[in-house]
Amino acid sequence: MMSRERPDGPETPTGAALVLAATAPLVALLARQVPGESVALSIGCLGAIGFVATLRVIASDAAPRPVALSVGLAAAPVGIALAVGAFGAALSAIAAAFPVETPAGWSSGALTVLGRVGTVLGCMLAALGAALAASGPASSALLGRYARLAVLSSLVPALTGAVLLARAIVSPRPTPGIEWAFGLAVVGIAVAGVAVVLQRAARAGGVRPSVPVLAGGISLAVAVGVSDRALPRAIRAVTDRLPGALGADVSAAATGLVGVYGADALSALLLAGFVSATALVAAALRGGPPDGSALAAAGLLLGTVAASTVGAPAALTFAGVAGCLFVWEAGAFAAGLRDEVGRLASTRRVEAVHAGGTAVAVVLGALGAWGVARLGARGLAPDEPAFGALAFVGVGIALLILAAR
Amino acid sequence: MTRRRRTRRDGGLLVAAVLVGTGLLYADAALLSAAVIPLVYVLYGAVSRLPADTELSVERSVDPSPSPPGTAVDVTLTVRNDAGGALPDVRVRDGVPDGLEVVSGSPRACGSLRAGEAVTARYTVVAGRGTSRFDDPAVSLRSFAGTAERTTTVTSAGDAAVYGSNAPPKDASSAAARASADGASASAGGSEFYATREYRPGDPMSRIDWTRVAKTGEYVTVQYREERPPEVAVITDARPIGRASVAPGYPSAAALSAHLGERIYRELAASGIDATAAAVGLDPGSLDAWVDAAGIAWLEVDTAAPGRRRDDRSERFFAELDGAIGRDAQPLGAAPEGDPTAGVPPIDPRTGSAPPANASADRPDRSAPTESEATAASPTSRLDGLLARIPAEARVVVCTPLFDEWPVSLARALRARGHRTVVAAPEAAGSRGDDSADSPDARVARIGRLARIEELERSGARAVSWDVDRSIDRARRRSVSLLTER
Repeated sequence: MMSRERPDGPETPTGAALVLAATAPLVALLARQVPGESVALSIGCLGAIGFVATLRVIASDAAPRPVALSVGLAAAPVGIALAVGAFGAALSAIAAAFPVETPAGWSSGALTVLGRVGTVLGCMLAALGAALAASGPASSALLGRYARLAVLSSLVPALTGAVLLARAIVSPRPTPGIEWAFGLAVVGIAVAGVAVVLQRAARAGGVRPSVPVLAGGISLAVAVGVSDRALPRAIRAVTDRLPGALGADVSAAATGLVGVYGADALSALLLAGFVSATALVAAALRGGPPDGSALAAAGLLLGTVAASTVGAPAALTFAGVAGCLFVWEAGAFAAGLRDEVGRLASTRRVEAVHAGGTAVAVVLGALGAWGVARLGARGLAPDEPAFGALAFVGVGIALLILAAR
Repeated sequence: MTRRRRTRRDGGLLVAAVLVGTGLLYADAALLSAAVIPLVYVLYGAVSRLPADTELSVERSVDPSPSPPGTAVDVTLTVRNDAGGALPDVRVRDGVPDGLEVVSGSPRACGSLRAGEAVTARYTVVAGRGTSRFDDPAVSLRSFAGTAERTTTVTSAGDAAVYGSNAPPKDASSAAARASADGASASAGGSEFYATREYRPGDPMSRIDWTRVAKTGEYVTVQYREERPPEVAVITDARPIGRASVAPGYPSAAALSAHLGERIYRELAASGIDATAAAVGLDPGSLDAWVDAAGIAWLEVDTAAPGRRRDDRSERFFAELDGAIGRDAQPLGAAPEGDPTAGVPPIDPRTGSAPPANASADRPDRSAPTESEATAASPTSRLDGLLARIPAEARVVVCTPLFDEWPVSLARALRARGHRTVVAAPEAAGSRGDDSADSPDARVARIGRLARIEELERSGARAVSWDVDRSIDRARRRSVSLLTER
């Protein structure tokens, strides 16, 4: 019988190319539907691609120490990019939707924010999936190793932030030199203790905790170095986008926090949060499908549905759904083919024929959807176009279930 | 034959449900209408069928055939669409024989075939000993949508096996055949003057020295030297240290040595020369039926048995030896499992004899006896057993990869006892045309081997090197020639 092993490495080149070729233009078209969030969306997609790149670094045969160091250092920018993508989009959408004039506007405003954020998240997920399809599936073990490295990298920033926070609470008027010495001593002792414990715990896994912990320290040094300038700018960038009085309130509260706890403490805690966020992403992906094409398809579906709720044209909705199914089918077919015939056999022609058949099917489906939409709008129920479409879909599902049985 | 149908119902309905649910929630006609797309997608998968006519022909070719063990064998499997229409998705996997490892290429292939088109899988295996038969290739067909699937095995035309060349040599002009023929004619009556003795009744009249009778009146019978073909002992070095190969999939050096020993043995036996085979360095429990008290496996000459039965015995002996050495060769340079000297006697390089039994126990690295030593006889008795069972006049060929000094010491010991000694050594770390041959371990092994060959020549033994990339016949002929020449 044909073997069913699932080797590491990229899907078939043709499958990866098909997934990329379908995903990239659709993401670009969806991004055009949320022009206010384009910057956040771009940064978020870059973060997703950077996340996959760090996974590939871990999966490479390079020496463990440079790998751990580079992944530890990359975790912070990747986490910041992902956070900017998600929260930046939310912020922009909120800024665009609010304030509202009437109480009824709150619900529509919330739905608009939901649609815009969903579009951005869908595009980020699609970018993540396409990058995984091109580079290779993320196995559970690989994601676990990344999560472990990211958590270790967040130790120093988290402990430093906690200590500085504690000192600020205990001693409201700190003397900088003494406080820093105190903080460093406490952090050093804590990190050394944690590292020893982790070294023993993780030795069996081949991970050297000292290296990612060191990477976290380097990231912290950079963050503290730029915190005086970067943190106020970041606060201003956020509060400026918040509507009216809310922006002023948040600005006042954030400035107060910086004044009480210090920019260094907050920067360290934010850095720990960003790095930990990438570990959470890895942990979340462990429970998901291993193939990038499935993630890309899910992202396209999410982005398409969300964009449709904020006024995307029907043609884009149909194209997005058709593309989602095409990506899913092409990726699943490529993965099955790779498992069955291995990487050395040429699969291009078989995949091209299969992709051609799938493309015809989904294009016919899109044409059918367009016809249903037109018919529903003009024929069966001119006053309630959605009702006509729903009637068609209901009949279709009934026929499908009958055919499947 | 297995038929399978993959359904897209779950995935398609999930997407449709998401679209319908969101469309209803937002009262969005486009989303509701878009639900048609997954339904068409599922319908496409449901109606997609395999073509009615799916006639395929499969042919396999093996090159070279027969193939000496250890050589790379190119296998080509071609699947042709003999049906009238196109087959959108044909996947094939050849039934590679158990024990043969694919070292390059892939035994699997796929193609989308129009009528008359073919898809080919090309790969390379390393030939083993004996006949390795292919299983029928598995062919899987799928419909355009990939939802209908049929998997079946197809009997292939062409080559059905990789034949590891163990056939006895057919060239009657071989050195052994000539030596045996010489010996046989001499034993029939002798041709070279040897001595005279007093006439005894019954001596042939033609052997009476009539000249002497005329001169002295004494009846003297002339004796001629009665020549017998030389007796030969073929010793195979099967110690764990030799169970390493230059690249994955290739036979170990010990297996190549055993193969060379078998070929030499067969040529000698086919030429009527009494040949004894022995194997040293076996793991405990191996070749139980052949092993003596000293832990050495022996295939003695059974002159009473008919030729066919002797062939069967030797076939069984070498097959069991091959199995005992095993196919799981370690990479060259990797530490062998267990003690590399396990199962073999140490030899004092100065005296060419076994050290006293307590000497080995004094060596720090042998302070803890291995399992084989604990269960088998002492090293000294093993060496004594080896040397004692080699007939006094026998010539000896030692087939060994020369990975360490032990074969050199053994050759010295044999020379010291007056045995003509030939050491036949496969060049296991030779050129393979890839990076593995240039690895540091391979280079070290080659340099050490060359140094040992020089030592052998100095000790009076003759060395024959077999570059395993070349034919084994040359090394076999050379070894037999050195053994049987006068």
